[in-house]
This record gives sequence, structure tokens and C-alpha cells, in this order.
Amino acid sequence: MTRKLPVYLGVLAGVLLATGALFGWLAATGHGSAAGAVLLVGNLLVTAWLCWGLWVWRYVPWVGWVTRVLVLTLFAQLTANAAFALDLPGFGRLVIGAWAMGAAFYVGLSLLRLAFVAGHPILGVARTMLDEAIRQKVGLIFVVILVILVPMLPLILADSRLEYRVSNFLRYSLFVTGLLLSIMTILLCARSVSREVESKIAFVTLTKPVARWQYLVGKWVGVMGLNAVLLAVAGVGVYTLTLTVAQQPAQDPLDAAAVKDQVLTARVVLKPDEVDAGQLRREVDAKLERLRQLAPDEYMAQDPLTGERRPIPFEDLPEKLATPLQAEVVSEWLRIGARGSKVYRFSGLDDAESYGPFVQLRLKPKAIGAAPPDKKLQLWFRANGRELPFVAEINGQVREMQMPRIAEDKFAIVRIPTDTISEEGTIDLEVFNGGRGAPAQPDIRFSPVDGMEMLYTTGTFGPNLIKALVVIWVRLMFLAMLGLAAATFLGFPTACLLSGLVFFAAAFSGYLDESLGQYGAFPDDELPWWQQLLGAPAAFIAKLAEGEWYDAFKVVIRTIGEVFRLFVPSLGEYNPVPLVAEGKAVTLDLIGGALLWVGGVWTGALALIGITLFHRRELAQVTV
Amino acid sequence: MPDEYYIQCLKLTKVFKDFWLRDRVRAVDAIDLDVRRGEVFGLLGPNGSGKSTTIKMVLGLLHPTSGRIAVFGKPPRDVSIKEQIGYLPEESYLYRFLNARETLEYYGKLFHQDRRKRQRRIDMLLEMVGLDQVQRRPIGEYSKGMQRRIGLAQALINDPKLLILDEPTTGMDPIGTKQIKDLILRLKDAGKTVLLCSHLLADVEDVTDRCAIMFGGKVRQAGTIDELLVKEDETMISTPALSEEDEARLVAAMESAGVADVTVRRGRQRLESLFLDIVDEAQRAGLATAGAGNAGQVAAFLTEENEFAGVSGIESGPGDDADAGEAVIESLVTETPMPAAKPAATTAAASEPPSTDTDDVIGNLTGESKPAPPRTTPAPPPRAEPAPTAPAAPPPDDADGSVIDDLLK
Repeated sequence: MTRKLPVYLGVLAGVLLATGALFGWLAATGHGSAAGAVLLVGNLLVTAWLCWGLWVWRYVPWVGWVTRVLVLTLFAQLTANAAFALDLPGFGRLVIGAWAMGAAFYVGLSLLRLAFVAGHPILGVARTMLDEAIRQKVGLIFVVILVILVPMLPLILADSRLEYRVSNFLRYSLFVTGLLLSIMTILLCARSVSREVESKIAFVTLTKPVARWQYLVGKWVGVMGLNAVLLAVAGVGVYTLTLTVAQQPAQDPLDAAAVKDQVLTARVVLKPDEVDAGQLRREVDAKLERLRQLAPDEYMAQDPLTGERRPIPFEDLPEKLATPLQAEVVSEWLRIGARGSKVYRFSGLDDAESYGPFVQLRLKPKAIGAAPPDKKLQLWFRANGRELPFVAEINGQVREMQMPRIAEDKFAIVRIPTDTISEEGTIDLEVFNGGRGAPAQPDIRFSPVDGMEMLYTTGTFGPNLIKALVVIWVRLMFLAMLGLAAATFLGFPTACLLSGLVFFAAAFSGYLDESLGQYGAFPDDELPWWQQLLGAPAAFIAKLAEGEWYDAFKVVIRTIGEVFRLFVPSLGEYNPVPLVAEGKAVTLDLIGGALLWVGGVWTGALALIGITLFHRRELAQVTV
Repeated sequence: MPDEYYIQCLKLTKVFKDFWLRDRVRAVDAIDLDVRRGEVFGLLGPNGSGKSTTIKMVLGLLHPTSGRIAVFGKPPRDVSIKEQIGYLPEESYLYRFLNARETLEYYGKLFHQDRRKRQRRIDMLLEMVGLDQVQRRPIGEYSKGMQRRIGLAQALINDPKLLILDEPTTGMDPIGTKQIKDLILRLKDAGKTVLLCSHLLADVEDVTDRCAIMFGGKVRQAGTIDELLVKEDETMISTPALSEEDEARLVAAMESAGVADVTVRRGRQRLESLFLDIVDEAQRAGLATAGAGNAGQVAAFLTEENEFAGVSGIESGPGDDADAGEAVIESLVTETPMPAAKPAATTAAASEPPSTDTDDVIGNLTGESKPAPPRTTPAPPPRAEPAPTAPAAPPPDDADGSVIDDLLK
């Protein structure tokens, strides 16, 4: 090989040079057809020579590697070209996406293997974990599903508006990627450790100079390396296909602009400042006064001696009465009566001007009662006292026009010039509900979650996607350690069940908290968790004393749920998928928070538990 | 703990408990055991006698219920001592998806070996165990014997001072078994210490210096092989092949000298020797075979002085013992006029072809010619005897020496 390679490369260079020189000379002297023929013959010769070389040295690892990449690329190119020639652009894009993902996987895996080549126990275990994932087909099956499913999503999505198609593609593809990798990570980790202990392979490894923590960390490093490659694969696929989908024809110019400004971008999101405490309290008190008159038994206390009724202050109201009352007041604050208006303040817009001439007001008005027949509402806006026209970018031209009617219960975007922002970085936004000769329309309200937001663009789609993938990777750090820790003391099926339970509880922690909060009587939510748990027995006994057996049982269930929840992180708080799909920036705060809490605290705690259990375990112990 | 002990167990006990923590099985029961530097120690016993449990405690895979155990003077779970240990488990617990080279790569990395050192050792080990031609095949496709070979190679990747072999010849053909036994002897010569656990008694007998026999979790008997195997009430005489007439004369001569129950049997070689001769002949004739190839030379790094001179940790003293062993062999070879007999030649037999004038010998024995010095059996094994081992089968103190004296007159 070493002796023949210079000769081989010399011949290759010679043919290339000779062809180039002859072609140049013929072309320069006006022999166009002869030059073309020389080019064709030269290309054929070079191709044949390359193929021969690749065949002769196919057993040399790097030659085999290059050959496989070349064959894969040529096959994809030919197939995609054929698809475009046959007027099947969808299939062509699918092939390109699949090729990009396959190539990213192949290159990424090779780089990862190179990174694990050094002589260290952790790297040795990590490399074998990687090989296990690929060769035992567990990881490979997920890779294949990923490579097939993600490129197929654009074919499945059939929204009429391009904006929704692009947004939904991003949402579903990232969701599928995250879910598949989460399941794969748990399965791989739980399987690897429990199987190696059961089949006694771990006996040999752990009688070498490998500490048990190194063994677990090695497994973790291997899986996280694989996850990094697979996320890169998914990222390449999602990026390529998103841009491909975005090139499809839009429904109208506004639709095309929305794709650019509201999906393929990264915007900071601001919510209206909460109404100040004094105003909130005044509204709460006013409402409470009305309720005291309507239901004095509930909202008034009776003196046992005199029988006189006196009002219960808001602070002393039972929680089941106070919470809905407060929520109603907040909801009222986001409600605007017909032909009425309200002012909302947005703060923190100091640096918005540096990112562009406009900030976006994103709102989703919901009609209370019967919506107009066309399901549209007429709204007007005033920012820091200046009335806003509707600004749209159509075919590259920024135009101002009269504020159009907005679809009810759908998101709409209104552009606000950044020169309206005050020196303090605030915008007082006044929203008018109808009027000015518009047809009659009902009261409207906005959801406190995402009904009214101010956004401004701080970055582009690509980096935002990378940040989202980093957050997903950090979530996988926790899941990998979860699977490993479970397998240090459990067999494969039970380790999977436990890990799966924790994963779903963590991923849907918000829903779980909400459900638990409404289930059974329990000490006040605002108390610290340990006071709540200490108060649980008292709540249980109180229910028993009242003869409410079922409610007492619910207290027990709630206690179990609350204890379980203590050991489950809130992965739901670190979900970047909706952000990317809605063109919102994945902020460094979110990444930092995920790294600190999910990747640091929770993963570290699990690692500590897993290592302690594994260190104390008698591996050769047989329990019957 | 004195340096000469690599493993020392004191009142070592292991009780397996059930789910309710009640005693279920007393697998090892207060055993005292030590393995000294430079020796081949055999741990014998039937299935379930506690051999493997003891080894697993030595390796830190099980924790003793009571008693003490020290390996290189440290607790068995100390990671640093694992640098000096090679372990071949009773079955091949290896990754089925890795090939032979990748397997050795993996285990080499666990010993912090850099790429160059790994590659060098892997090449030598693969050649040594005869798997260099099939090194790219996944281990899952290997036969059991081939898996044992790669298992042995992984146990040697770190050039260990202490090699723990649990049933090393299980699943191996006679050639492989012979090679393993030869390897053990070569490693011993190179100063390694070997703890051999087996229930194949012949294998243990061929290679060990000392052994312990376990049953029911206890050590029933321990000592050197010769101490354990010598038959106090029997003496054997080995000669070249005799004619029936000479045999009758010999018996008559001995009976006339007052020896009762004289038995003469034709010499037999061991089945292992026969088998190996046949295979050797076939290989010389160039007949092809599938599977593992011929094992090569012992990997040089296992016997090179500079390889283990550079290893930190426990002092490497047994080289002196090995040199002493070589000297003993030399002296035996030069002083003994006949080729060395097989180690197990405990019958009155010799497999060598007759090369001397047997009539003269008999004549001498019966007083018709001048006497020739006879050899007593068991014959010395073809290897060095370690210092603690007793000389080869000395005649018992109460043996009837007058018979020999009479014959030699």
C-alpha cells in the first residue's frame, strides 16, 4: 500500500493535469467539440482509476470509509436527480434529507470513535457502549426510524398555510426526535448494565483496574456521545428539511412573510407586566364584597356567642375559595368589554431597537359569547399614545395599511415601531375592542399563558435550532443517568419501568402538579414541601374523624404522589420544542438553567445514588 | 503480611442468605488459604465445593461474611491491586458483538495502555492463542474452545503477576489443554504466580506445586502435590521394555529376595500423548483444519525481563526462583542418562523405545553381570520444582531397603 500509493496518486494527478491542459488548449484554440470530448474521456479515465483504487485497497480502513461515503453520496444524488426529473420534488427532498442525516451519522460516529481511542478505562467502556448500541441494533433501530420518519413528516403535514406547515414540521420533528432519543437512552442504559451483570460480563471488566464509578461514567459518556451524534443527525435533517419545506409556495404574501418573521427566526418573548399588587387587591376586595352578599355562609364568619356575622378577610379565606377568586381577578384583567379598552405595560424592551425597526405584538383574542359570523374581530391599538397602523412586508416592500380584522381564537401579529419605546424601555399598549363604526362584537379576553406577548428578533433560526438541540441533549443527560442508576440495583424490565415512570412524570411535570393540586385535601400549597408532608398525617386523621374514609384515602394517595414528585425534576420547564416551532429564542437562561438543574443537580444526584448502590453491590451475589 | 504471600485468607466464610436474610447456603466455611509468590496453586473440589465462591471473594466480586482476606496485602476491592491480576472466569463472559482484536483493545484500555503498547501486545497474544487468522470475526461466532482462548488472552493483556484461572481447560480440545498447561509452566518459569481452580484432576496434577482440596466449603487437605499423592506402601521400578522371559526372571529374582505381590505391567503412554502425536503427525503432513490455528510462542512481553521490570507496585522477586528452577532442570537432564518420563508415569512403565541391551540389564539384576543403577518412580516431572516442593518421591523411611540392596549385590 505505502509503496504503491504514491505511484497511484501520481497517475491520478497526471491524468487530471493532462486532461485539464489539453482541454484548456483546445478550448482556447476554438476546438470546442474536441475539448468537450477530451473532458469526457478524461473524466471517465479519472473515475475508472478512482474506482480501481478503491477496489484494490478496499480492506484498508480509511479507503473503505471513503468508498462508503462516496457510494452513499452518489446513490443519493442519482436518486434525487431522477426524482426531480420525474417531477417528484417531495421525494427528491426526502432523499436529500435522508442522505444528509445518513452522512452526518456516519461522519459523527467516526469522529466519536476517534475521540474514544485513548487508553483510559472510562473511554474504553464508552467505546464499547457505543459499539453495543450500534451492533446490538437497539441504537440502530432508533437511528433508522429517525432517518426515515423525520424526512417523511413534510409529506404527512397538510396545513393550508405554509407558516403552519413549517411550524408544525419543526414541532413534530423535534418532538419525535426528543421522544425517540429519550426512550432509546433509557433502554440502552438500563439494558447495558443489567445485562452485563446478569450475563457476568461485568465480572471480567470489574476485575480490571476500573472503579465502579468509572464503569458507570464510561457507560454514560458512551451514550451521551451517541446522543450527540444522533442529535446532530436530527439537526441536519430538520434544518435541511425545514428550509426545503419553507421553499414551498406560500398561500399569500402575508403567509410567506410570516414564515420568515414568525417561524424561521429567534425572538425574545415578553408578557405584559402583572397588574400591580394594590390594584389587584382593590379588585379582589370589590369582588369579595359582592360574593359576601351572594353567599354569606361561605364568605362570612359567625360569632358563636353573639351569632353576629362578620366578613372574612381575603388572607383568611380557605384556599379553595381564595385561589379561584384570585384567578378570576387576573382573568378579568385580561378581559376587554365590547367597545371598551385596556392598557397593558410591557417592560424590558431597552435593547429591542438594536435588533430592528419593529417589535411584534402577538395576540390571540378569544370572544366571550357568540363570535361574529365571519369569526373575525376588529381591534385597534395605541402604543405609548401613538396609534398603530398595520405594517406588513409584502414582496420585500414594507407597507402600512388600515388595521385588518383579526381571526378569533387564532394568533395574529401586529408590528410596533421600536421608536415608540419609551426611554425606560417600556410600551404602554392600549387595546380597543371594536368601535369606530365596526360591526358589533362581543367581549374578548386573552389567555394568561400566551394570549398576549411582545416579541422582538434577536437571532436566526439556525443557531436557535442548535440551542434547542443542546437543551434536548441536557435532558438526555438526566435520562441516561436515570437508566444507569436504576439498573445498578434492578433487572432490565423493572429498571425500564421505573425509568419510564420517572421520565413521563418529569416530562409532564406541569400536568402532574396540576392534577395533584386538585386531588384530595392537603396542607396549603404555599407551605414548604416538608411542612406539607408533615401536615399530611393531620389531614388524614381529620378526614377520618369526619368519617370521610374516601377523602382520607385520597390524602394517602396524594402524599405518595407528592413524595414521588419530590424525586422527579421538572423537565417540562426545559422544553425548547414549542419555542423553536414558534420562532421564539431559546435563551441562554434556559440553557443555563437546564445545565445547572437537569444536567448538574439532578443528574449529579442520580449519579451519586447509582454509584453508591453499585459500589456496595455484590456483583456475584445470587438472590433466589 | 509477608511479601511472599500474594493471597492470604484467614477463617474466610461466605454464607448466602435468602430474601428474609436467613442463612441459606454456607458456601465457604472458615477456610485458611495462602498463595505464595511464584507458585502454581491448585484449588480442587467437586462442583459446589466453594472453589468459585472463594475466587470471587479474592476478586472482590463477593464480600466475605466473616474472616479476612488480603490480595497483595490489600483488601480485594482495592482497585490498585487489579493492575497485577489476570482473571479467566469459568466461562467466557465476553462481548459477543466485538471481535477478538476489539475485545483485547477494550481490556487493554482498562489498563491505561497506550495505543502502541496495546497493538504490540494484542498481536503477540493473538498469535500465542492461535486466533490471529480469525481476529476480525465476532466472538459470538467462536466455538467454546476459541472463546476460552480469547478469554485467556484477555487475562494476560496486562502481564499480570497473579493469574487466576477458573477451569481454564473447560471446552478445550486436548491440544488446547496441553498448550494451556505448557503456558502455565512457562509463566511460572517467568516468575508469575498462578491460582488454578479446577475439577479436572489430571490437569492440576500436571502443573501445580501445591494444592488444596475443598469439599462442602471447607479445605479438606492441602500441601504439595507429592505430599498428597505419594503412596507410602508401594514402590515402582521402571525399565526399558523387557521380554516375557526377562520379566519372569525379574519377578523370580525379586520373589527370591523376599518381595511379595510383585506385579509387572507393560508400559502405557497417556491418551493425551497419543492424541498429540497423531495431531502433530497430521499437521506435519499438511492436512487443513477449520477454527483456531496453531498456538504460537508465548507472548514475549510475558517473559521479557524489561516488561515487568518497569511495572510499579509489588516487588518482582520470583525471577530468582525461576532461575533456580532452570538450574534444577539442567542438573536433572545432565545427570539422568534416560529421557525424562511423563509426569504421571506412576506405573512400572517406560514409553521410550528399547535402546539398551536388556539382557545385560537383567543379567546384572540377577547377578549374572555387573549391576546398573535402577530408577525409582515416580520419575521427576519435566519441570523445575519450586523451593517449597519436596524432592521427587523419596523412599519412605520405613521402606524395605534390603530388597534393593540384595538386587544390587
